[in-house]
Amino acid sequence: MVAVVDAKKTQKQGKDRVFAGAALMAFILASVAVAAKFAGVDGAIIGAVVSIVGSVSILSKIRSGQTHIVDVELDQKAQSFLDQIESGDIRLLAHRVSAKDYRLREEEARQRNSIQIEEGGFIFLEIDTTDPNTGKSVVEVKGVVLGDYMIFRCKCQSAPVAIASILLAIRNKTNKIPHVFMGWTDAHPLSYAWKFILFGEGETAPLTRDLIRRIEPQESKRPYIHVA
Amino acid sequence: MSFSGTSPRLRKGKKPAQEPVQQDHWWKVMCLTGVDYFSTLGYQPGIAFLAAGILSPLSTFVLVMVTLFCALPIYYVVAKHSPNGEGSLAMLEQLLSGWPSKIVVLLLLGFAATDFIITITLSAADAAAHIVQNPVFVDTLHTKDPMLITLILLTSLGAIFYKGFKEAIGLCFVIVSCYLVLNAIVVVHCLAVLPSNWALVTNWQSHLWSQYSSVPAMFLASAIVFPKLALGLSGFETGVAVMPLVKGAPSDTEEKKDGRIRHTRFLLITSAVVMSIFLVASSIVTTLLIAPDLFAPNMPANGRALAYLSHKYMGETFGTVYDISTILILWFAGASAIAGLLGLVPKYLPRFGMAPAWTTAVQPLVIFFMLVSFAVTILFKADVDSQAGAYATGVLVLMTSAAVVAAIKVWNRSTAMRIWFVSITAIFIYTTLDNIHERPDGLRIATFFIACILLSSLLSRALRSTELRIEEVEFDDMAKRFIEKAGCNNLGEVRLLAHRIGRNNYAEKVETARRVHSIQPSEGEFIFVEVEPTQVSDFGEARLKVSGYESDGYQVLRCQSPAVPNAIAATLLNIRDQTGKVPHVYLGWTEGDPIANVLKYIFFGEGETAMLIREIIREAEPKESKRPFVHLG
Repeated sequence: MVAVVDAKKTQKQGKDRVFAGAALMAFILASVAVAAKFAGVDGAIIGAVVSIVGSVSILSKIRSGQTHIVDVELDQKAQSFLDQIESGDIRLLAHRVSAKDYRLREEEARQRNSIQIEEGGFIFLEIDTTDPNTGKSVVEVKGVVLGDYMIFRCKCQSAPVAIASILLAIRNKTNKIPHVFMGWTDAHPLSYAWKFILFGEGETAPLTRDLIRRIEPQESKRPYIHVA
Repeated sequence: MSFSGTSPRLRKGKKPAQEPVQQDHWWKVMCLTGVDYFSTLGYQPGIAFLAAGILSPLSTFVLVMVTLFCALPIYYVVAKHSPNGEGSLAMLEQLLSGWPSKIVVLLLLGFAATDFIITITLSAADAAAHIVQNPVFVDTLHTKDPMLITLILLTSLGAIFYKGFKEAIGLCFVIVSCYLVLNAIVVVHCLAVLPSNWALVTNWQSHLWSQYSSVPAMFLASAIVFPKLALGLSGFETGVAVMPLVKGAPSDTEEKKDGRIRHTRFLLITSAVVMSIFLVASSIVTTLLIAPDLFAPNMPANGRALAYLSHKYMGETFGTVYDISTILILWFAGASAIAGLLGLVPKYLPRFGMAPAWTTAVQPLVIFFMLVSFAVTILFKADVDSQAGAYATGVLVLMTSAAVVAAIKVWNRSTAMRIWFVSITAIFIYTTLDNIHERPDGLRIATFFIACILLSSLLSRALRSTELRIEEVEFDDMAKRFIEKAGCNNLGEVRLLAHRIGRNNYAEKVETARRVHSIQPSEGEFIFVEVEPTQVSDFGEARLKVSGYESDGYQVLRCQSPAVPNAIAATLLNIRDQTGKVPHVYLGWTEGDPIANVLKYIFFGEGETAMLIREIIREAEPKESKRPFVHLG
């Protein structure tokens, strides 16, 4: 059952989600039915509890295991952005691919996070998650300049994996601890938990943080993740 | 159980404790508990015979001894300490604190619910047994299916409560008096019949002597089967629960309710003595005058031993009157159990995170309890004898808890008292365990209720977790000064820094925050905010008091709240309203799995605080530009 949901996850389509949910329900109902057959009403209750708790914990374990960081390749341009920032912190600013207004985003980020002009600037980070090509285990980061703004562009199925991998790669290359700034998403935390368990998606910031936390046990060496 | 003064329906949205209750003489109030306690006579003799066989009178004698010398003393003590009807449950809760107290309440609540639910279903089933076996009723009803009749009785009971139950002490008084008088007539008449049927007595004696060699052996055997009869003890917890209805002496004050305590003790003693006499007498006549095989399921005396005798020896007319009286008292026993449930459950559910407003919604509760009653009835096939075990489990667990409380209360009185109450407790613990071992149904039903309470409280917590809930925030002068000062700073921003209470590493914390969030000293100072988590309670959640302190030159805001994220969110929104500027709060990441953190919040109310603060603010303030900034870094 687990394998079914797992395989379907890679094709993020509504139908498959329904199927995954149905498969999970079917599994739970089947275990209840089997338990009821052999042990009556008590068996059914125990069967329900065990199968729900069991499948949720197995799925969440699988989810955590699935997500591991990948290799990062920075192109020349991207590398040059990092070289430009000699003193001061490296700050990535997560930016939705579809949103075009860089000036507004930067102003907002400066005001929110109280980053003054003299403290330095941001490098925008745009991740295209729509590409279904999953074969690659390397994230290629392209440096792009648009007007006054520096942008990292890459393609990766999972935003948290991409962000965590890029942050750690930057840290290893520059020996500086980079920052990333993200926004809050408008949804209830419970819906993330549920989405994460069933489909392996969730709020980007906590998942990124979780990835980094696992890979870098030393707190002082972990890249900073800001949510505001 | 407790017909608490006003109908539960009228209680909606009010605080139950502050309502004036109409009080009455103790002997009238006794009839309230009597519908539960005395109605047991409908099925107790039959259950005693099925459990003990020809030893039934002796076993009943043991039960009476336990009633008078164990149960009565316990509740004699409990009555003194719960003049407002708290009962042993509340007393035990007060003796403990924190999580142990919550767990104890949860467990006892499960068993109390079992006790009441089975009171409802068992009484209805026994009422059905009386209807089915009555020739007059069966002719008019055209059905002999006890299950169907039980379900009809339950439905009518539920319908009345759904519309709102107006209790009447007067009605109970009439019903209980009639029932007791009719029982007295039946028992006395049957005892009078005995001399002319002396052969039955000698027959019984010879049977007894052929099975047991000596009198001590008989008593030993009776004591061993006693746990099966224990449901005859059911009325005591109800007796103390109705205490607020007992009229005290004119000299009683709010603090000293000696008159009420004295009268409640009269109530307990009188009902115990009356019941003891009836129990012994009824077990003697039923054992002697009814052929053993008639007690078996589907036989005429099953579940209605005394009614069978009244039909046999006193004619169909008297028998039918007796049946009507029994059906009424059993039906009222179910009604009193529902009233008890509706009084008990809302009192304790807020302890498990449920909003007080939700738990006072009577109609959904009635529907829920009725559905459970249907399920229990169908599960037990409306059979009186098989429900007895589950019922006894509920009763015994409550009595054991009462025994523990009473033993603690008399501990310092004298060594004799100590030994006495400890042995009572031991007896009840043994009886309870034995009962659970023999008939695990009660435990199962109790577990079901415990699971229901847990599940619904989780659900309610999950749904309510991100409501602001705090309506008013009050800053003291010092706190106001901190906020004003921050407003005049370099950038004029108010920046709060969440800090776990009890750690005094302010300097280190500021340094880390400056580095992580890159706030330079020129950009302003941090104000620490510390929330001390408190117990969730029914009231006092709507108001938050924030006071300012100086500690090592750092500014600290402190407040107390059961929910840390809610308190911080409310403080932020209030600062925004007062200063007109949107404030910031800075928090660190919580260690641990993100999923685990969400689950932790649901269970314990703690987790990734920043995410919850953000969510609370998002729900409370629809306009994004007006939402206080929550920084997680």
